[in-house]
Amino acid sequence: MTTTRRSFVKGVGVFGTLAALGLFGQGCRRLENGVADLALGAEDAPFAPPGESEIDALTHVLNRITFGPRLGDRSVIEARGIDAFLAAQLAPDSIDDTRCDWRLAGIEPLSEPRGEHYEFSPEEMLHALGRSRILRAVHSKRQLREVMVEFWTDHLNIVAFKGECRWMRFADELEVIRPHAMGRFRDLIRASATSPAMLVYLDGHDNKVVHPEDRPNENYARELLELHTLGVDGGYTQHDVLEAARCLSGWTYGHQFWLGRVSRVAFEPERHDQRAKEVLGVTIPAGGGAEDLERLLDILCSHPSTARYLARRLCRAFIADPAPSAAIAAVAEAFRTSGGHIPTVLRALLATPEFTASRGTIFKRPFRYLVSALRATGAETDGGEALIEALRRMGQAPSEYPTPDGYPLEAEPWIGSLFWRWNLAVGLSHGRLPGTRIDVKEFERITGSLDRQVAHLFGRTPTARELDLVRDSGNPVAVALASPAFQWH
Amino acid sequence: MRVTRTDAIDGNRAGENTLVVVFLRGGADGLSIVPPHAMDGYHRARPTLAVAKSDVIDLDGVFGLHARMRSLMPHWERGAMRVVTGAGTTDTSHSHFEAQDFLEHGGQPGAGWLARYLRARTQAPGPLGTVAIGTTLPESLRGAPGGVVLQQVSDFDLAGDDQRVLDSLRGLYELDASALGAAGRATLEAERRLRVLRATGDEGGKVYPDTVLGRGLREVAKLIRADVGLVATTVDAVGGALGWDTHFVQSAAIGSLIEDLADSIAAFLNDLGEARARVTIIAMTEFGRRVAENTSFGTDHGAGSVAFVIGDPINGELPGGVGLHRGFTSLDADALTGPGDVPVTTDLRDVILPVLRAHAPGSDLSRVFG
Repeated sequence: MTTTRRSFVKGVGVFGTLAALGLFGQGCRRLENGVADLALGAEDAPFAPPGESEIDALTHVLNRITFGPRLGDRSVIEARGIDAFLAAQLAPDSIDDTRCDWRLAGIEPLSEPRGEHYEFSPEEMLHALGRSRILRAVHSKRQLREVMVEFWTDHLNIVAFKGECRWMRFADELEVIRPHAMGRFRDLIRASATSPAMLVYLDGHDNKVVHPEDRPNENYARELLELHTLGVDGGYTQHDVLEAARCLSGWTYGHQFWLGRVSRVAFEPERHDQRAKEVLGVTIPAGGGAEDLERLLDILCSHPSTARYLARRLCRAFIADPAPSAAIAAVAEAFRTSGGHIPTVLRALLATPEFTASRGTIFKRPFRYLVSALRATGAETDGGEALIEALRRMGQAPSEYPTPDGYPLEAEPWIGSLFWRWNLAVGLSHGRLPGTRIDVKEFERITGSLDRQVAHLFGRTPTARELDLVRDSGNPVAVALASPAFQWH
Repeated sequence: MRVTRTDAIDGNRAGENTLVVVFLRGGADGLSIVPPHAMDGYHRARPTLAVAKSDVIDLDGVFGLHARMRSLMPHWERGAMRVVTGAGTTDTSHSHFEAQDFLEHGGQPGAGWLARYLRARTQAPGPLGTVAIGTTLPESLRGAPGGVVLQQVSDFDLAGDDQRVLDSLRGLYELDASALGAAGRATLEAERRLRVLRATGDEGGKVYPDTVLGRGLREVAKLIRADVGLVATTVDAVGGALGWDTHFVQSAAIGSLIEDLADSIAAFLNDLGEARARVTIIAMTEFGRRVAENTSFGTDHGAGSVAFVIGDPINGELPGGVGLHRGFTSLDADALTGPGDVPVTTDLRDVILPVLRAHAPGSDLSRVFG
């Protein structure tokens, strides 16, 4: 028997996990408490519940640019100022996230190069993906980046069940979505265009023009125009789709498979259509080869339709659905003038009066519902299978959306999942989800009284009637988490 | 200001049509279920396994139903059945795993066809809109907007059946005038109907075979009669340990499998009562068996099989039409495909799609099968 690289790493991983759970879990908690944690709420920051009958500005910002307020978050941000908090969130690399990284120590594929992922089973990969997404959403201090990771994951959806995607979907998150989530839009799309998982998912790997009469595979080109850049009403024609597909012909993946199953993306000139192309009225001269991809993305990413389409989607995710048109215009303008610099675009969005005004108007999708519940109650969690299964039942398991358009932003498709939200809330309150625990006693101790507890979970002070109903239930935590108020953000 | 799209959220929509997918998992032998009794090639290829003419209920002089399908004859006679021979997929792997995935994914990579159907419907399913009978979510529902997996209605509870919690939730959702309030009340109503169902000990009005399929359909009937807004459900028809995968001494198993299929569906239709008018059943399998029997008196993995659409008319007709669809006219060697398989003359997607169109009028179903 030989010791493979993976089994060796696995051994180290066990120590890493023990360290993260045991040693660090105790020792470092004490250490942290001594450190002023300016980026986002240390666990022991004073609890300061909302005091207004409507959602105030503090909670609104936490609701939208994080996955929901934790117990100490309001007081930390109040002390620091909302503007300083937003500035830090818009520059995620300025925030130290070491503690979150410790929590991920047990997730093996995170520390493995892409080629090694084939040593894991598809189930292990899917589990690692879901678990790391949950843990990061709960614990990362770079909350806005995590929110944007979710946004781009839907925007560039890849279902994790098609062929090599079963392994490469994770690499797409690590190499495409995460590095560019708060970067430049064009870089994101460029990375996605040659991502192994995307090449497999939308058949780009098989897009070839070997003989002049060959029809290229249009699958990726169509979604690139329809879903990733211009939008379905972006003013392109079937001709543009075909021409875009010709630009992309020759990019492929997996031909070096026999070399230790190392994944490789390559441009193969003999599979590329070398003739001239015309996309959206712009001519791309013959003989461009691999550069055709760059020209194509230049045209698409700088197109006004793209700015508008992305602005609309961002406004739907951050402001309201349907998105207010004045906000779309302002955000689209920022997209154009900044060349798709995502933090600049988000800064403009957060500065719109529509953002300030539309509080509690967005229905939480299941992922946010789960994560905001864990954050609000200070739950300890391993992010494991019980939570992934709960997400699956509520209809939003990571990377399982069946078509390229990603999990919907609208409220309507999700409202049918209340059943599972309520069962999740009750299950969490009773500690029935293996690997996740809410310390209800500690939660009650920190919040101090029922009205403060409910105000924290509702994001506003409850009415007398609401308070009575929550109290009479005998299980206030579960009922508050299952309440209408907790379904919106 | 809140999103209010009440038109799409009336929870337990009364009168919802229900699609019941019966999956004959394992590769069912269409040539035994609907024997082409008048084809010489059939009897030549299956000297021991061809269904004897005396055991066939003739349909059109060429094809017939296996005699143990007789419980479905009333439905055939009343024009509530479509029988499609030569039904199958374009998958040629002859592998259960590959072929089941291909069928359950609807020939599209990744997620399930039922999931895409449920996502594509203009009306999103209510709280109990999607139920899979079994222990795990089947591949066809992979990516669905929520889904209940249960073996029995009695397995299922909301909020641990904690009445005080439910009462408080009722109060809170009654205070909410938005679409969410309506959805919450619909959820509580679904829970109430399920609870009534459990309390009354409704075990089904008719006698079902005590099989996976029979027990599963009995539970489906309960949900439909309780009017909980069931849109789609899947049930596996697996008889015994090997089920439809009859490589070995097929004659020992196939008759009871066929009888289970027919009797379970017949009991289900009877049990539904008036609700029968809202139900369409599709019964299908991942592939048929090889035409020629093997030396173990069994049959190996093949291609074309048979599919059934059973139900009352929707808008005047059974979706896709009624009666026998003859897929092939000969089983002589030169009429076969691959290693001697029944040719696939009707793609199962073309059997399914008319049903989906009838159940979800006005929805854009173009992505369901890509």
